[in-house]
Formats: sequence, structure tokens, C-alpha cells
Amino acid sequence: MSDAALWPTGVEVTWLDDIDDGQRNMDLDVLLGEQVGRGERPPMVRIWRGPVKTGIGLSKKDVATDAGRAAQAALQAEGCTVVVRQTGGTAVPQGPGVVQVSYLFRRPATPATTDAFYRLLCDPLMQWLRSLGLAAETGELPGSYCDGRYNVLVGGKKLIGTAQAWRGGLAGMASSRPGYVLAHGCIAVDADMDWMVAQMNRFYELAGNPYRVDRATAVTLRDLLPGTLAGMDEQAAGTWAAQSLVSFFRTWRPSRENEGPGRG
Amino acid sequence: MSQIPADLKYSKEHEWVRVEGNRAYVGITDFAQDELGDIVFVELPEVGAQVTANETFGTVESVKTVSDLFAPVSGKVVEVNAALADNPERVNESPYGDGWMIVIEMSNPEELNELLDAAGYQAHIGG
Repeated sequence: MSDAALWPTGVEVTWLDDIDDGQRNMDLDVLLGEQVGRGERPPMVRIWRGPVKTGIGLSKKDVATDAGRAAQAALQAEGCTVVVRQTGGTAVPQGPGVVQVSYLFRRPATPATTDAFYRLLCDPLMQWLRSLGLAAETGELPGSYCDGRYNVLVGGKKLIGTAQAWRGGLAGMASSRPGYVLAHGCIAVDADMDWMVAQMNRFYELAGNPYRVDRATAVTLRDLLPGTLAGMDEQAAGTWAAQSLVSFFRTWRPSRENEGPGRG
Repeated sequence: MSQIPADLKYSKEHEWVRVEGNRAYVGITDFAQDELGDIVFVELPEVGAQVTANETFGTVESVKTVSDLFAPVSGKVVEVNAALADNPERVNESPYGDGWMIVIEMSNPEELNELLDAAGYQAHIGG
């Protein structure tokens, strides 16, 4: 199956967020995904901004231990918003200038790889960046937050993190159960990465986890496009990016001419 | 080629069951662990939890992807493989041995009849 064949018909592109409640904002992916999985709403690309109160987003793995939960509580007591997401990986930035893209598609009826869904997510994001004049690529970047093979990098630094959750059965395999695939990208449009990386590292230090993030690996869209975002605060920059992504995804379709979508 | 022990039962969603009296050991198959790749986290229920056949009992994470695990039979969880908290890679290394996940005290052993035998599972995965 080509990557393009995974793009369902009738995809709804929606900007839907709750920037006053970071956890509810995150959990909307679950609520909407379950509805998609049951066929109660069409497959969707959800564009959403992070919470007004800045902080970090953790995976369930991060808070699976007593030490992890204590570290989460300590950061929250210090005023750092900490939300827990459904997808895998490690900590990512959260804030009004962090814009997220969530694909919420029904599980494919036939086996399909997580790699294919990562490409289906990253390729349009790279095309969107190219439309802004930025050349992007995917790849691992040791030391970057939530590192993986499908980081989206610009100038060798991480701009977008990606992760997935497959509900209704194991990832990549056919399942007779209703379920959905969540493929999620987290775009650092405008964020104080010094502070956010410090919060991530403080979390892992308190949790007794040796994992650390190297601040030098992270970049924001504001770093890359200072003129475009001039005069905007974090929330305005996030709103601008969300609007731009909605417009982009409402017209984007994967190329069916080749094995996969057009490369960014 | 994936290992499919003859003495186990299998779900179509790639969980295996080893029956010992009224107890069912549960894990994921060699085929499944190979398809998932390196497993970095397994989320399991607490001992004493009730699970229902064909409903989720936990999650497994690989390549930054979280997947649902489904119970092949109903009953009470009487053991959990706590070693997987620190060593989730055991699911990759020994899916039918040290990589077992939970033990269920079955409330309806007839549910086993809904599962596949080794030949049926082999055919299911196209082997």
C-alpha cells in the first residue's frame, strides 16, 4: 500500500482547541479519535494551539513511576503546566506558541506501517515549511527533545516533533476492532526554548531519569522567520501558524503518482 | 520466520494465551513484537483488576507509538510481570517466556474456544 492510499476520503480539516485547559486540550484528541474510530465523524486533521500557560507535555511512560509522578507534581507546584499525552516518546514543549497537528484517521483495514503514517504527517509539514521559504528534512537528532527518526529539522535543528498512538489493536497490524490512528506533530512556532528545555531537564532530573535534552538542538519558527513574526507575541504567532496550517491542509492532497506523497 | 508454539492459543490481534489450570498467561506474539520493533514501555493493569475479553487491558510503546493491548479472555488479573517496568525489551527478546505480561484467572474458560490454534494463527499471519 502506498503512503498516499492511507489518506482517507472526506478528511475534515478543523481548528479546535481549548487553550485555557492544557490537559483537556490534549485529551480532545482521544475524544475526537474515538468518534472517528466509531464512524461517528469523518477522519480529521485537527490543528490546535498549546495552552496559554506554558509548560511541557509528557508521555505516559514519563509518569509511570512514583518518581515520575512526583516530578510532575513538583513542576506543577512551581507553575509549570504539565500535561500527559496519549502518544509515545518523551517531553515536548507546550504553550500558546506551540502549534499541533493531529491526524485522526480510522485504523486502516489492511496492515500499514507506522513509518508510512510518519511520512504522511511529515511530508506535508515539510511542504508547508517550504511554502514559507524553509528547507526541511526528517531525521534523528541525538539530544533533541522527543527524538526519533521522524523529527522535522531545519538547518539541522529540531522544529517539529512527531509521535503516534494506535487504538483498537497493535500498531501497523490489521484489526477487526474499531479504532483510530493518531499521528501527531508538535511545532515550536514561538516559545522560550531556554525555559522549556530547562523544565524538561528538571523533570527528568527529579524523576531520576538520566535522559537530558540539549538546548542547542532546538529551534523555533521565530528564530527562522523573525521578519514574518515581527510584532506578534507567542499567542499571536501560534494563531498565525494555526491559520496558515488550516489553509494549507484544506488544499493539500498526497501525490498518488509515486510510491508516497511528494517529498518536502 | 516467526515462532508460533504449538501449545498456545492465539487471538487474531496477536496476543497469545498459555493455559495452566484456570490461569491464563498472556503476552504478544513473536510476529507482533517483530512488527512493532523495539519496545520501550509496557503499561499493565494492577493485580486484582478485572479484564474482559476483547477489551483493552494495557498499552505497549515502540518507535514513539503507543498501541492498545486486548485481553483474549475475561477474568481477574492475578499476576503482572513487574519486570517489564524496568526491562520492556524482554517482550522483544522472549515474547513467550520472560516477556509474558499478565496472568488472568479466567471467569469463562469457554472463551478459549474463540481463539486460534497455532495452525490457525500461522494461516492468519500469512505464514
